Amino acid sequence: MTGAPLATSTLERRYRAGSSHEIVAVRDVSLEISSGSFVALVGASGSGKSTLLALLGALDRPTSGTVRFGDQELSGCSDVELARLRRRMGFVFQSESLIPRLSVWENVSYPLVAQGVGGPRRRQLAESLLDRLGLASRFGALPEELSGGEQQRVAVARALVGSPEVLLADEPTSHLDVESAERTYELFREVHSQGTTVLVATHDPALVGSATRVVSLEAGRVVDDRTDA
Amino acid sequence: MSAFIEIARTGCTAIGRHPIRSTVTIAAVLSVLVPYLVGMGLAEGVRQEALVAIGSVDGPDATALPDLYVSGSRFGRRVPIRLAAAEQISSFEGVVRVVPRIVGRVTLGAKDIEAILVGLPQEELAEAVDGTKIGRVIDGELPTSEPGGAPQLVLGSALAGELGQQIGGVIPPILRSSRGEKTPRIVGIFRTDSSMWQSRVVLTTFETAAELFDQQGLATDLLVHCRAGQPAEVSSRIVREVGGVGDETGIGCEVISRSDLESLLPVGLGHREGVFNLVFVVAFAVAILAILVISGFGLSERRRTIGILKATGWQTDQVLLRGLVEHLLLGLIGATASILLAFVWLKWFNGFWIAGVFVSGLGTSPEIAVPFVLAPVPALLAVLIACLLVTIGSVFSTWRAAVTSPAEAMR
Ligand SMILES: Nc1ncnc2c1ncn2[C@@H]1O[C@H](COP(=O)(O)OP(=O)(O)OP(=O)(O)O)[C@@H](O)[C@H]1O
Ligand SMILES: [Mg+2]
Repeated sequence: MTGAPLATSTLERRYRAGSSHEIVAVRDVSLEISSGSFVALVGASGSGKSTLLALLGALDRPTSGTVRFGDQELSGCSDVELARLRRRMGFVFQSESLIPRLSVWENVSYPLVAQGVGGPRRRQLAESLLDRLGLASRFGALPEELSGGEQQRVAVARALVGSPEVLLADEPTSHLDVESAERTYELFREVHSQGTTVLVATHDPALVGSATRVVSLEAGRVVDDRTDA
Repeated sequence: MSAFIEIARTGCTAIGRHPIRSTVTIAAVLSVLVPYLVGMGLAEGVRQEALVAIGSVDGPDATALPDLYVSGSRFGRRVPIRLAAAEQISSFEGVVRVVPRIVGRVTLGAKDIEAILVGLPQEELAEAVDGTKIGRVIDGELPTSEPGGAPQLVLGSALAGELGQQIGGVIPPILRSSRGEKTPRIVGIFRTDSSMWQSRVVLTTFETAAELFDQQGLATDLLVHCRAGQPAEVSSRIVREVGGVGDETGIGCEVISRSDLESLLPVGLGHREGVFNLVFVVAFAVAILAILVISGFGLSERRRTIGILKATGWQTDQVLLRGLVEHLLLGLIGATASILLAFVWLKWFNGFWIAGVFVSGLGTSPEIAVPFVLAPVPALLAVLIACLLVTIGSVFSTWRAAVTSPAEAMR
């Protein structure tokens, strides 16, 4: 695969804080994420990693600037087109993101409902992913019955269930012990080796080490962008 | 298409996943619809029963219907009229025929089932009650009165069913007359496809009715058939001349023309319905508010859920479809439960409390079997209302959450 599945140009996202004050969470970010790359997004807490990922994942709208996915510009997309784009991406949220009343396997397979995949097939896909992440025994549990790390892994499984072209993960290993984190890295490396573009916001040196490119953010700006051999 | 089915399915299962929310929503629907259905059922029941009195059900052949209904009047109330008046009126210019009639309440059988007994002269029975040839709508025979013989009755189909009676059967004495107990015999039964009021009516001869009620020489009312164009004159003459006849003083008479009666009836009932509708509109508004509040309870959770769905590739219309299926199903469940409950309330609890509110003259616990008819129109309306109520409560908040960006909805 060639070209840039994801590209931003002079991207800016401001948040209104109070009546007059504004926070610029992301400013003047122009990035090209080439297809098949493994990018780590690093930076201090509050540097804008989550905000940037949400913009790239079509989950949030920029204040100014553009985001392109393939040859489509997000701001010009209809609701249906946006939904189609989101199906081509998998997103792992930093905070809790599971649907409370649904069991683990249902949470994992819910994105496929909107694509018309039948129950048995969904179950099967969820099962194999959960197994890979060491969660086979928590298959029918409810999110509230899971530890923080287990919830994170369920979210990873959900992001991967639709075989996305791009995986966007926001600190996916922050609650994990070394062994579980290692399983997650392995999975990431595997999907990456199968051609998926991976973009991870993380503080975890081990995960940064897996990356082929490291983008550093500081106060919403890209201050460093290194591509390793 | 398959996505549509899968999404609809998740909408259905969502009901069971939120047991409290679903239960409260259904309860809100019940609290509006059950009183509504019970009220409507009573209104229709009372109306049908009232129509019996003027024999104006099923749009019968108008020429066969009487033009005037004459009864006695005392203290401004309708009271029975002496039979002697019938003879007097028949001699009036423009009068074709005068038929005395007895209409009264009776209780039948061991279960004390309430019914309306109608007594008409034997020669009239063969002719018509409400414009149809009676012979055509009953199985069995027409009642006759044999001196000293058992009272002969024709039962309405519903009554016969409730009493478990067939032609040739006997029922425990209706009333004890001064001449001892009589055990009535059933000589005929109205066909089930005959009109509604006939299904709850007991038809007999005038003589038998007089005997059963132990009221000789009186009729509930006189049905006067006039020549075309004459009813108005006949009516005023009756009022002028009939009042003073006979030995009883102080009894005037009251004449109601059929057209008056027919126009009065819906108005009288309409008035009560109007009051009821007002109450209902208030209840409806309260219920909408209640449901809005209820849907507010789970709002932040639902907002988050919708944000997650959108973030994982659900379209706005798919999110809305899921919510719509969930709420329409809840509405249907609520409506069905309401119809069942209303029926139980009317049938087994005899309209306890609500019948008193709705029908004047009935107490909290009605001593008579309240008449009711659960017609299909209010039932369908109930389904519609339920679905509307429940979806209105949710559609707006669902839509709001579905059109905001997922990141914001999930916050
Ligand atoms: N919804 C919001 N409203 C207002 N300000 C916000 C909002 N979300 C984020 N911010 C602000 O934007 C800045 C960037 O936040 P962001 O979550 O992108 O940082 P981050 O790099 O992901 O931090 P962390 O490593 O702690 O997750 C922060 O200063 C934060 O306070
Ligand atoms: Mg973050």
